[in-house]
Amino acid sequence: MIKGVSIVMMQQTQRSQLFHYGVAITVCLLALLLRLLLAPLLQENAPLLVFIIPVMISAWYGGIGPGLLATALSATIGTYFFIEPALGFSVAGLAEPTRITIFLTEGILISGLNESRIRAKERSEAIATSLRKSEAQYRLLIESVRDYAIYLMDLNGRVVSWNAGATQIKGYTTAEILGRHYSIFFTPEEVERRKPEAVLETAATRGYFAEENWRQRKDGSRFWATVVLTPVYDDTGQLQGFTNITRDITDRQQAEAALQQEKAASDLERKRLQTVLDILPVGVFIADHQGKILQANAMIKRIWGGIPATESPAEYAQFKGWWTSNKAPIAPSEWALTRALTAGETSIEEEIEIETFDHNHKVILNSAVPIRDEAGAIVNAVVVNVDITRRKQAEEAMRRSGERLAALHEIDQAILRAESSQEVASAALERLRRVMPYSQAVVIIFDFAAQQAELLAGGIDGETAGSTVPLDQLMLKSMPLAQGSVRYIQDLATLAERPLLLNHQLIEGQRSLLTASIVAQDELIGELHLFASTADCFNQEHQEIAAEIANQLAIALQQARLREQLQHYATELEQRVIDRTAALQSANEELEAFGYSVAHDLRAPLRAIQGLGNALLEDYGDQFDEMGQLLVERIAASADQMDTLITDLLAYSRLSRTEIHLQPVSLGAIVAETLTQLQQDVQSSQAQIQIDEPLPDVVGNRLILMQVITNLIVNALKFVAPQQQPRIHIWAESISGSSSSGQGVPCIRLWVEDNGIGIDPKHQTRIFGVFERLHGIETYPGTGIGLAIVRKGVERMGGRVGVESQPGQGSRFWIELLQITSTL
Amino acid sequence: MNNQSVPFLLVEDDPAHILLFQRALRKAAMPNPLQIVSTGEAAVAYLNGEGIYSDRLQYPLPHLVWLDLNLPCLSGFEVLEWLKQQPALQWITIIIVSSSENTSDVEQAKALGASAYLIKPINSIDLVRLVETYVSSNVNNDSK
Repeated sequence: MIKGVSIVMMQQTQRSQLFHYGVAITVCLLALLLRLLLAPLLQENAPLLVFIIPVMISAWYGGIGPGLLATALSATIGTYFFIEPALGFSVAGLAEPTRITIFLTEGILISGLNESRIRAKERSEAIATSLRKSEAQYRLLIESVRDYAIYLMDLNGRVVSWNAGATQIKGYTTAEILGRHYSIFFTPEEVERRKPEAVLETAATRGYFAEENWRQRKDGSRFWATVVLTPVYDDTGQLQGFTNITRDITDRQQAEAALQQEKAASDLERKRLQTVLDILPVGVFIADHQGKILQANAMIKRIWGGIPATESPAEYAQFKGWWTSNKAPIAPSEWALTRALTAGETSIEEEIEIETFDHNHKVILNSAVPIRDEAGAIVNAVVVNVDITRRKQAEEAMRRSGERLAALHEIDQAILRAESSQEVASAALERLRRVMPYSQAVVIIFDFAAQQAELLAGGIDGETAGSTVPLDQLMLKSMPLAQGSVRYIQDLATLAERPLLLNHQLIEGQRSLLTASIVAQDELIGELHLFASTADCFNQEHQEIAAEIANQLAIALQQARLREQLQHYATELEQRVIDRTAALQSANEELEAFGYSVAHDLRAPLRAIQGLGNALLEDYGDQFDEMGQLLVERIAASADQMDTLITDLLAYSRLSRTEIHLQPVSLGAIVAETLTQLQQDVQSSQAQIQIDEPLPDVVGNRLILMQVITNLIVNALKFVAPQQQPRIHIWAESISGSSSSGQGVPCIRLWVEDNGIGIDPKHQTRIFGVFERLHGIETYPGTGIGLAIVRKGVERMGGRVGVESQPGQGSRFWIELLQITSTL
Repeated sequence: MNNQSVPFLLVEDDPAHILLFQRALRKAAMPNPLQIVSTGEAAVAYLNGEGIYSDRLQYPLPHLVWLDLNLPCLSGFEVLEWLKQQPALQWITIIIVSSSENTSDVEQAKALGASAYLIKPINSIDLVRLVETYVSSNVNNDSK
C-alpha cells in the first residue's frame, strides 16, 4: 500500500515536472512570437531581451530545470532568429557572443534563484503545515482534557479559552464563559476580599500561583480545588495573560480527610489502648501471629522484670515457668500464648510459677486469648498475667496459721478431754508433732523440794514417761529459764556446760533444743523440751508455738491437778453416798420388814383375842351380866379396830415396798368395779352416786388404783353429817398437769366430790399423812391411813393428789394420773 | 374309813389358836383324831415318820394337815415346799391357816400346792365345809 501511494505520488511529481517543462517551452515560443511581433519596432536591437521573460516565468514556475530549459531554448531561438545573421547560428563579432553569454548567465542565475525560492517556499510551507498540525493536536489535547479545567485569561483575568474539563468541572459552556472575568469561579467571600485580583498579581510577580481552596461552580455549589496560575508572556517578554489549571479534588480531599480521620481515630484508639493497658493492674502483652511481642504494658514489665523482644514462640524459652500443680517446667510450646497462636486455644487463669528476668520467683495467673480476623485467621494473641504471689503468700500464711490454730485448738481439745496430767501432756506432744519438726520431746514437771523432775510425757535418753530424774541431770544452771519464756539452743554441741541427759541426747544425735517453761500461778512447775536431730531446726514460729503450747500445758496441767483433786473428792463423796445409801436402804428395808413382820406378828395374837373373845361370848355369854357382856364386846371391838389398823398399815407398807407395773387402765372399769365391791356400804348409807361417763383411760396400776378409789369413796361415804344422805359425784377432765414426769404433761384429773362435812383448809395438807385423823374415833371411826394410801398409791403411779374443800361445804378430792399417749 | 375317823395334823405354835381350833372341831362335831405339832421341824419329822413319829399307830399319817404359816424355825411355806417334794405324801391335803390376809401369801400357798387358805380365827362352819370337800374326796378315792 505504502509503496503504491509513493508510486502515485512520484507519478504526480513527474507529471507536474513535465507540465513545468511544457510551460517553459510554451512561454519560449510565446516570447518568440512576441519578438516577432515586436520585430518591426525593435529590429535587430535587443534580440534576447524579450526572451528573459520566458526564462523568468519558467524558472519562477518550474524551478531550475524548466528555467534552464527556457534559457537554452530562448538562447537558441533568439540566436537563430534575431542575432545577425538572422536565421542562422553563425555569429559575428564579439558583441553577439557576449550578448548570448550574458543572456545565458542571466537565465542560469534566474533559474537558480527561483529554484532556491521555490525550495524555500516549499520548506516554509511544509513547516507551516506541520506547525498547524501540531497546533491542532495540541488544542485537541487541551480541549479533550476532562479532569482538568484549563483555560487562558487575558491580562485582566477575562477568560479567552475554555476546555471540556473546565466545562465539566465548572459547569459553564465555552460560549457562556468566553470574555467573562474569572472571579466568578471564586466564592463570594473571596471576591469580596478581592482575592481574584490578588491571585493574578501574585502569579504575575512571582511567575506562579498555586493553592488548594474552595471554588464555586455555575450552579453555586462549591468544590475543593487545586489551582495553578501561570503567567503567559510573548516573545518580547510582554505579559499576555495567564493560564489557569484547576482540578476538582473534593473526592480526593474527602478520601484524605477520611483517611486522616481514620488515622487520627486509630491513633487515639492506640493511645487509649496503651493508656488502658498501662493503668491496668494486670500485666498484658499482645503478640502478632508469628509470636512477636508487639505491645506490652507497664504491669507486665513489672511482673516479669522486663519483657525481652521475642520474634517467635521458640524464643519463649527465655521465659522461665513451672506448672504449680506438678512443678514441671513449661516448654515454649506449652505456654498459653503459644497454644493461643498455634491452636487458637483460649486459656484462662492457669496458675504457674515463674522466675522473672530480675530473678524473683512469683506465682501468676496466666491467660491467653487468640484474636482472629474476619476470615478467622489468628492475627494476634493477648496474654494477661496476674501476679498472685502476695495472695499466695497470704494464703500460705493463712493456711499455716490456720493449721497452727487448728493444731493448737486440737491440743486444747485434747487437753480438755484428757483427764490426768499425763494424758494432757501426751495429748499435747502427739498433736504438736504435726506443726513442729521435733524428733524427740518431753514434758517435765519439777519437784524442787526433792530436786527431781518427773517425766509426764515423751522421753529423754531412754527415760520414759512416769520416771523421775535428778534435776541437775537436766537443768542448765548457768542458763536458768525465766518464767514464761523460751530458750533455744541451736546446737547442743556448742553448749559448754551440758547436764548429763543433754549430753546423752547430743551423743544420740540430737542437735537443736527448744525449751519452754511451764508456769502455773506464777510458779515454774515444769518445762517442755523439744529436740531435733539437725542443728538450728526451729524457727521463730516454732518458738512461738512452743511458748503457746507451754502456756496451754500450764493451764491444762493446773486444771488436771485440780480435776484430779476434784475427782478424788468426788469419788470419795460418791463412795460415801453409796455407802450411806446402802446403809439407809438396808435400814429402810429392815424397818419395812420390821413393820411388816410387826404388823403380821401382831395380827396372830390379835386374831386369837378376836377368836377367844367370840368363843367366850358364845360359850359363856349367858353367864355374864350386862356389864360383863359389854366388856367382852369391847374387847372384840378393840380387836377388830386393831385388825383394821393392821390391815391398813400392811396395805400402806406394801404400797411403798412392792414394785409397780404401770399400764393403760380404764378409769371407768375401775370405778365400776370398786363400786361393786363397796355395794354393801353404798346401800347401807343410801348414798347417791353420780358418775359422768365415760371416764377416760389412764396410765396406772389396776390394783393400786382400786385401793385409791376405794379409799376416796369410803371417805366420801363416811364423812357426812349425821342423818345426811351422802351424794357423791365422780368425773374426770383432761389437764396439762405437773406430774412427777414434769410440767405440761397431759394428765387426767379424776374428781370425787361429796356433800360431806368438809375440811378446814389448814388441815388439808395434813390429811394425806399416815395416822392423821381429824375426828374422834367415836364420831368417824378410822385408822387415819386411808388418805395416806391414796396419796402413796397415786404418787407411785406418777401422779398427784389434792383436795378443795371448806368446812360444811363438802370436799372435792382429785387425783391426777398420766394420760395415755402414743409413746406408751 | 369315814370323815369322822381320818386323822388330822395341826401345825400351830400358838396355844390360843390350838385352843380355838380344838373348840371349832368340837363345835363342828368332828371327833377325828388330831395330832398337834408346834414347829415346822416337828411337822416334817412327823410326816417323815422320824423318831417317835415312826410309830404310825400312835402317830398316824394325817389325811389333812392344818398348817400355820408363821412358825418358829421352819416356816409354813418351807414345810409346804418340802411336803410337795415327797412323792409318797402327795395324797395328803394341806390347808393353810394363817392370820395373814396378804394376797401374796395366799398366792404363794396356792402355788406351793396348798388346797385351801383359811384366815384366823377359824370357825366351825369353814371347818365342816373344808373337811367335806377334801376328806370325802380323798376317802372315796381310797376306797376305789
